Amino acid sequence: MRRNPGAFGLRTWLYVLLVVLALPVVSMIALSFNASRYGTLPFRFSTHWYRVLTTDSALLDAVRTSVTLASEVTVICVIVGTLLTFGLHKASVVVAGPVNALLLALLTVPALILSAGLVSVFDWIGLGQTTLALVLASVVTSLPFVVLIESGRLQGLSPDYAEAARSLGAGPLRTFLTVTVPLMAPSIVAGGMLAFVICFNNFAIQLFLAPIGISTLPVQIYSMVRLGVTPDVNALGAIIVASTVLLIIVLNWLTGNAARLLTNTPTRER
Amino acid sequence: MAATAPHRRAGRSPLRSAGPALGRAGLLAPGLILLVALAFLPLVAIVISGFLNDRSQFTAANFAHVLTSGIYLKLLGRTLAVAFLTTAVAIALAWPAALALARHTSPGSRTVILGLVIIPYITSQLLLIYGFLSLIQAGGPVSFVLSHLHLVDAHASILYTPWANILMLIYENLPAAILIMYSASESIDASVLEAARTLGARPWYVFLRVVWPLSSAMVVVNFTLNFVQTVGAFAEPAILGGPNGQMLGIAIQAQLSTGASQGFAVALSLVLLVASLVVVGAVALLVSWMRRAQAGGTPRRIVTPATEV
Repeated sequence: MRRNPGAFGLRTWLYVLLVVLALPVVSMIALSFNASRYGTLPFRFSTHWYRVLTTDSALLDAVRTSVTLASEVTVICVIVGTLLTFGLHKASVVVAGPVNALLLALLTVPALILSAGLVSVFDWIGLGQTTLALVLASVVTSLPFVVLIESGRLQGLSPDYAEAARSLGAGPLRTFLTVTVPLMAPSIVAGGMLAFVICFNNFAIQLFLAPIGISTLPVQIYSMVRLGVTPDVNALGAIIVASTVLLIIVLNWLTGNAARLLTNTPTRER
Repeated sequence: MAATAPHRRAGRSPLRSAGPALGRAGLLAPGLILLVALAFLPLVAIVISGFLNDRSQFTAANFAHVLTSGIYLKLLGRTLAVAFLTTAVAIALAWPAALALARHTSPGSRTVILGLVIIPYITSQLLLIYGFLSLIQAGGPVSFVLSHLHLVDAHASILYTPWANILMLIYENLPAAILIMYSASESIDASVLEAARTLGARPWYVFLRVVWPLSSAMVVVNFTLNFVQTVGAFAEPAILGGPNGQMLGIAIQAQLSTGASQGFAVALSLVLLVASLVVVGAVALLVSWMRRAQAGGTPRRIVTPATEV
């Protein structure tokens, strides 16, 4: 690496930006250990808010609702998405073109506007604001991520392995289950994890489609934060950020490069 | 091997050869049903139900209301301006950092830095807003430090002003901008930059004549993705923006939540979507025009021989 002032300046800017990106997250973690009721300084260490968190039933209920929803959605997304990926791989352009266009539309249309359309559709078919409507809407918004990640892997996969298995006498199903699926496994797991995260965070869809009286975590935080700062949200946020870091490490280990996975998703289609 | 495969297939009975086509349809069916019902229909619904009134009669009244109302047009203009500003600023801030990440860091630290960028990218938007709120509120860390440096009053804060909303939206656009511009910067051949420099081009000239033409397509991708998402923002202005920092998304959310005026909410959504696509189209056209205008006058010799090396 050559020493030149331009490179030094650029690198310094990169580190400044990283600090700025970390600020809200670090502040949330730091304030979760601060005794103040209003999240104000000076700092006095306390684990009080973690104890409060264990008794905040509204917040814990919301976490439970969100985790249940995201788990159900992940299972459905992985099954439907994997089938769709293999189907699209063999499908003609007449089918694949419009399907890819729909997947791309789901990625680009803002969640708020898509929600407006979904609310209308669910009203027409009589589902309205029900758990089923919420699950279905969440599945459809997470699905594109699963398909894009898995199809990226599938396109990069050499057909030689499957052909070798076939020429050695394995049937199509056996080839699929013992050769293709294991080769696809990292992308299936990565797609599932991403589906979980996307669904867990999908605030707009949850706000408009969740049954009345049921709050997912983002909806619960939204209603709490408008009434002012409640520091046990900091404690919960710190725990969620810690889980996110773990998730990124696992994704990196599975796919070799979590960042490439995320940057390639929106751009590959274009 | 390729030669034996069709041979084996040709030996199958007609019954078995129908299998793959059926199997393929079976693979596609669940996904197709979901996508048609819950992606295609909602998009159609956005167009249709905007034209329906409370008694399901066809009318353009909703659009007439949106387009003749001073309030909504002003809100639309402000929304597009805020989204444009925050998206453009995020790309401008992210680009130099992405160049540094692609060119001037070791592979080991690159993995860690990308991990750090991804953390806010996949953290719940509501948690980030909450973290930002606790960061900038009066008495919070920023105001504490600034007031102890005697720069501002202890109770001063930009919370509940349009600036809080704008800063939050820039922040939210940064991770995606860094990731996308990183992959754009990475794909530029280092020898091209080296060639421009050894031929005597100054850094600004290298950026304008080499880096920009090679990355402008990705800038448009980046702008499109972030701009369209930012246009639909409503939680950020609702929580942070205060009375003067409203965006059209809040109006759509309010109309949708009451449930009484769904057609109107949908009409607002459609106007917002079409307006944002017009802006995206204009930016894409402008960039491609700039590229062509530049290609006409650019001494292409700077680029061509280097790519062949």
